Amino acid sequence: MEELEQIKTFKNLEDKIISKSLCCACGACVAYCESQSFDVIEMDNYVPKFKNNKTSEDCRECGFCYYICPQTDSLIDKINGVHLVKDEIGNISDLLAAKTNDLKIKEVGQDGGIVSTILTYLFETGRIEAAVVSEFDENFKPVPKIIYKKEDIIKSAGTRYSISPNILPLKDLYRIAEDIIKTRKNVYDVDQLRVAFIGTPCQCRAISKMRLMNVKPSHVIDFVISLFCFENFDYEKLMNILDKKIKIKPSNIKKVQIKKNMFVTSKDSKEFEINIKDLDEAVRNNCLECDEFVGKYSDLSIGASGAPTGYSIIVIRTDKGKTLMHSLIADGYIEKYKIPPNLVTEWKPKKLNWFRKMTSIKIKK
Amino acid sequence: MDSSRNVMVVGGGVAGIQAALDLADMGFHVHLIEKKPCIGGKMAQLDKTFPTLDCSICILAPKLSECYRHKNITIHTLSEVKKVKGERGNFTVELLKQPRYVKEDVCTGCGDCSRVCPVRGVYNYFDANLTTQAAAYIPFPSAVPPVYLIDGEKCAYINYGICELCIKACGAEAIDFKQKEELISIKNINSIILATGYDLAEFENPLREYGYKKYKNVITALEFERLICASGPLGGHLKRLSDGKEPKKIAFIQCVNSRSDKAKKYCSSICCMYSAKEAMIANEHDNELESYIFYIDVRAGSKGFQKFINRGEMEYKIRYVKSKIAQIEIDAQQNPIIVYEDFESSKIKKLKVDLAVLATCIIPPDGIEELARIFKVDLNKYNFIKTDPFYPLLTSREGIYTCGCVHEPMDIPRSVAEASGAAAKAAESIREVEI
Amino acid sequence: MPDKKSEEKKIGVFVCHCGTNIGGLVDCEKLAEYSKTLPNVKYSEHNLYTCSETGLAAIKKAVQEKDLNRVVVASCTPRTHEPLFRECIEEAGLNPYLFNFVNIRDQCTWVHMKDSKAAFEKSKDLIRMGVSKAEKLEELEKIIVEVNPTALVIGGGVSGINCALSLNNQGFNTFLVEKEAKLGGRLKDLYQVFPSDREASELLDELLVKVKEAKKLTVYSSSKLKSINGFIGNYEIEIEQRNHNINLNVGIIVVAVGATSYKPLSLFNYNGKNIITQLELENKLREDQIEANDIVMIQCVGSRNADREYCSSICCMTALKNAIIIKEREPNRNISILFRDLYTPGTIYEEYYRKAREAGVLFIKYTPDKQPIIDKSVVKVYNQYINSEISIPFDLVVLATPLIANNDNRELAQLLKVPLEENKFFLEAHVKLRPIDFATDGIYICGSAKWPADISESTTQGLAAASRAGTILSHKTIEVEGATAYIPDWNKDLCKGCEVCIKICPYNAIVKDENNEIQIIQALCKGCGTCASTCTKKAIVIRHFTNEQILSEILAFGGEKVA
Repeated sequence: MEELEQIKTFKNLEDKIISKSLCCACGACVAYCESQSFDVIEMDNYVPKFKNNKTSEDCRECGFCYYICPQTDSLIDKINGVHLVKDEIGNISDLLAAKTNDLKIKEVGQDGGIVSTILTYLFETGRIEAAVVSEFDENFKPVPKIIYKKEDIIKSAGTRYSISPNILPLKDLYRIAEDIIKTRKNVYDVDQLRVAFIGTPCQCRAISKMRLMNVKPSHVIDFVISLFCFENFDYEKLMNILDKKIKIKPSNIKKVQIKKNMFVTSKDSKEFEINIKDLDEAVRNNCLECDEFVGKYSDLSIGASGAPTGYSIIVIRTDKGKTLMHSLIADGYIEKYKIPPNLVTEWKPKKLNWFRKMTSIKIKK
Repeated sequence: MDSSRNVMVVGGGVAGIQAALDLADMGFHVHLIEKKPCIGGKMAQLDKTFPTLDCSICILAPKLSECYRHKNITIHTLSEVKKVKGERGNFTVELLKQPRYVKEDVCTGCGDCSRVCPVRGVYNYFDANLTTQAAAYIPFPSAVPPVYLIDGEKCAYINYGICELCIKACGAEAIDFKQKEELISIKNINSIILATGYDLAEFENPLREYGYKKYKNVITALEFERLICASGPLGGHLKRLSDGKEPKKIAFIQCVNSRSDKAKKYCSSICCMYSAKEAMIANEHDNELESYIFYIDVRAGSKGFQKFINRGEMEYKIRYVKSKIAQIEIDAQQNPIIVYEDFESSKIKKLKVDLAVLATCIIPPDGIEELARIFKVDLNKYNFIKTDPFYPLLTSREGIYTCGCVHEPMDIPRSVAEASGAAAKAAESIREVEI
Repeated sequence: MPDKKSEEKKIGVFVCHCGTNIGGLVDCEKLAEYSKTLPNVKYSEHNLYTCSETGLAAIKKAVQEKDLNRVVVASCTPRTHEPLFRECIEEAGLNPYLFNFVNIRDQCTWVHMKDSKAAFEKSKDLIRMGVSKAEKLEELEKIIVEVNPTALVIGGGVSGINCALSLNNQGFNTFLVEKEAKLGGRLKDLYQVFPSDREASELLDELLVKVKEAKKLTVYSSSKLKSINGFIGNYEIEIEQRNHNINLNVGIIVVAVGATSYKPLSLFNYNGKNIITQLELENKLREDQIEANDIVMIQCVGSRNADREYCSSICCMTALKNAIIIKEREPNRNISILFRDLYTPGTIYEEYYRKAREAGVLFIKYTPDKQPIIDKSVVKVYNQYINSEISIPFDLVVLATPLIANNDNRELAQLLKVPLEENKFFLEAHVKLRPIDFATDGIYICGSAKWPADISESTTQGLAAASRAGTILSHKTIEVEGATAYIPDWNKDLCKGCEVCIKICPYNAIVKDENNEIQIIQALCKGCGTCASTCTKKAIVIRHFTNEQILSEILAFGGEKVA
């Protein structure tokens, strides 16, 4: 009970974070408040705000929205303790590169297709009942969603390059779960659900704070994967730039990749390249103040940066993550990258330094 | 009022409650000490009880209410005895009471705090840890005292200073975070009755050799009780936890960790009866359900017990297989496979079932050595409280009596009879002073 | 106080929110308003928690200020809260039976959680019914019975003696009646007693010393019970001691008459010479008269079968004990125990089993479908493990027979008006929760008279009976529930003496008196209603649940009177 003399309210959150454009639109505050059925705040065009006829008079003043917000200082020390974070890249248990053996995922996957494969494995072995992922709608806009079967994974494959408030769908946890409990007979109430969470480092940070306090609706999260994230874009602004620079409409975008510059593949199989500097305007303000690149608060951190072509890099942080990766390799779901014999000793340190470098570039920004 | 008419009963299970009620009805004042937030003990967790198959909590609840309302009984929950001084006729006992964070005399048990509490993950001991609850909770809806409590380890207010949602929701203004651990001293106690009950083998032994915790479809008897109980996590519709399938074949494994050279040598007494009972309840829910009980000796000596066992065999599809099993394997669909020696053919056989239930051994309750030290009573070689069969209910210390499972594994009828017996000894002690 | 019957009824209705349990689903304020519209309701209010101190204070205030003479609370369950509210209105000056409880939580909002509209309508119905009944409620008095602080223990075995001693130590005058010339029961027949090597006679001597020293205990040996009259707190007993009749007045009775050892006259060629019972073996052991070298003990003789579908629980330990004694004296003797299931539960007894095995006793399991056969000088028994018959030569066969109910249990049961179960042992009120009480208040049961019990359990149960008795004897008077059954004067002609009520009363509270009239003993009646609902002439009325009261509820709900 160290820090606060008085509990912070949503108004405090607005004053300190949202109005200062520091909000990363993770959805945590709204997910929490709505799962409690307080009916006070909502996410409006990526901005959390009071609902139409609600004001700070209706705020319950419990303080959770402030505490779980990844952009506040609260609880950072504590989650650092839990996740054994001692430096800018967090606790490293092991490091490897791998790619999927699943043909379907290979087609739609971003790099190594690892995240999709992991989810497939977790569903197939009954380790999870649901996963929080992000799908694309017809206009290449990321829509966060909770999925309950492995068949839905395909729709969420690929990287998103604009904000997806992944924590937001959890606000309906108690409503959706009723149906799941009817179909998934091995679960007998909502609190028994095991959900895998995939998100950006800031979102995983929020989840970590929520899980530290055991607060709804994060108590069902059983596995956390954070994705490497250098910066994220505002959807509208990004689409405007793409329209201006390469005359592409959102509904025609098939795939987007950033490797030094941005590469866009259209649905009619055309390839485009855009200079990364041209996208600066679309970068969200909070990304400029972020100090995470790989995502320190997770079981696994996964991304393409530093990986050999066609592979993803996986940073293993916990025993849970370790066991999972071993199973995936042993059961043939993924193929581990064979480090060339002459590079073996320096491969890992090299990658870790790369991550440190990327993180420091981010911070300097 | 003569101050030496006080008795302390330690343990609020059915034995402690019966002893307290008898003494209170005789006009003595009883301090009933219970470690958990509510009284009722293990009996409250059972679904039905042998040999009558009546609903456990239904027959227990009136006694719980009576205890709570009795003018002569003071219930101290969340309390443990830390020090005992004095002698028969004049003990002084010091209790350590854990904070409930709820005012016991104000809370009306309405549950509004629990509904609004956003913190989850508090394991519910009452449901054999199969479910979790909010940080503001009550172990079960008809708990006595009907007062909620807040888990200090997970409560956001206690740990981080935020939330206070329960305070705002409570119409009776019963939430009180200022509460702390409290030392309470009770003087002028004439005699003490130890009735702290029992624990089960799985509380101290992971039972890995049976696949417990490794295989989802190998569960303990207590977990089975909660799963089949209408007030439990499955609402009384038995299904197995790996895939929700309704079991059609259940194996009950007797003598788990008891009558064993490797674990406990003694017999846990009640398991033969309760496994038959559980099989019968399961069959009542699903008439096609078959049960196989793997046993060494069937022990059914008390009133109505043998008839109960016979009924189970004849009417409830129970089959007895005399064998102490070798191990439990699992197949790809998570079905347990019992590997055992079939005595008729002298061959090793395998029986595939949908669910395996382990009848685990009764062991002395956690902390009994500390208890024995505090009360200065002897334990026997099995770590139960030592008594002499010809002077039953007496411990090695004058003025301290005992009843129920804390000194010997036993069933409910015997526990209740013993409780009355211990009350008689306490009454004699008090009257001796008066006469 | 003015005559309540003819005075105007002024009902107060209190609707409880119970936090959000009721208030969260239905509008309690509206329910309170609705209540005001009902006939005879002079006052209504709604409370957040009617059972809290503030709620109770509100009730008392309303009773006094508004001069109410009936109170209805619409809230949770009478199971937990009825006594509380009854006490509350008593403190406000009203008779506690002028209170009616309407359950709109467990029986309404909790079960209709998804349909608040229907729950609201149902709450209105329930309140309307409750108010209607309240108007018909009458004052009732609790029945006060004086208690004679004296106890009678029938049976001077280990159970009865321990019971009597405990009662004496608690300060109550106690009469111990024993039909034999000497106290001790079966202890007199036993030699060493398990699970130790103490002798039964030693234990008995200890007890007899205590009996002698017990100042409030009077022993009547060679005495039988002749008659008993009365009820709890006031029994009039007649016993006969060597042709003298003695009258005793007691408050409670304890039955501790023990059981009898079964003699297997037609089983296993029993002859009392070389095929004997365990009890007969005890005598031989005491006199050290065992010469046999090959001993076969057979368990479950005459028990766990169609005749006696029970396990006598003490025979396995008896056999083990005797086998150990023999082995300790002469380790070279061969002892085989043929058993079905070995009954050695718990810590000490299981240890005893191990001890017997380690002493070299051979254990052979047999199944009930293939009983052992005595064939000249061998015992033939089929064993599943080796899948063949074994022939064991013997010099001595010892049969473990069960304890069976005494022949005179029926007679005693009729005198006391207590039931027997199918094996003729005495039947307690409830196997689990009232194992020492009879359903009839004031009579208790302990020891082998209830069910075969070893010395330890017999002692415990004797003490338990003393405690149960103590809960009554400790008080000068006891209060008995006032809502009892009775036959009003105007119904006395209806009764045709069919006696169905006598047979059906679970508390044995109904008798026919000297004038051949049905009497319902108020002190024993619990008001359960069984007699009233079965009375073929509808002569019996249950106070607080009269036909008029119940009909008024039905009519208030919306029924039409059938002519």
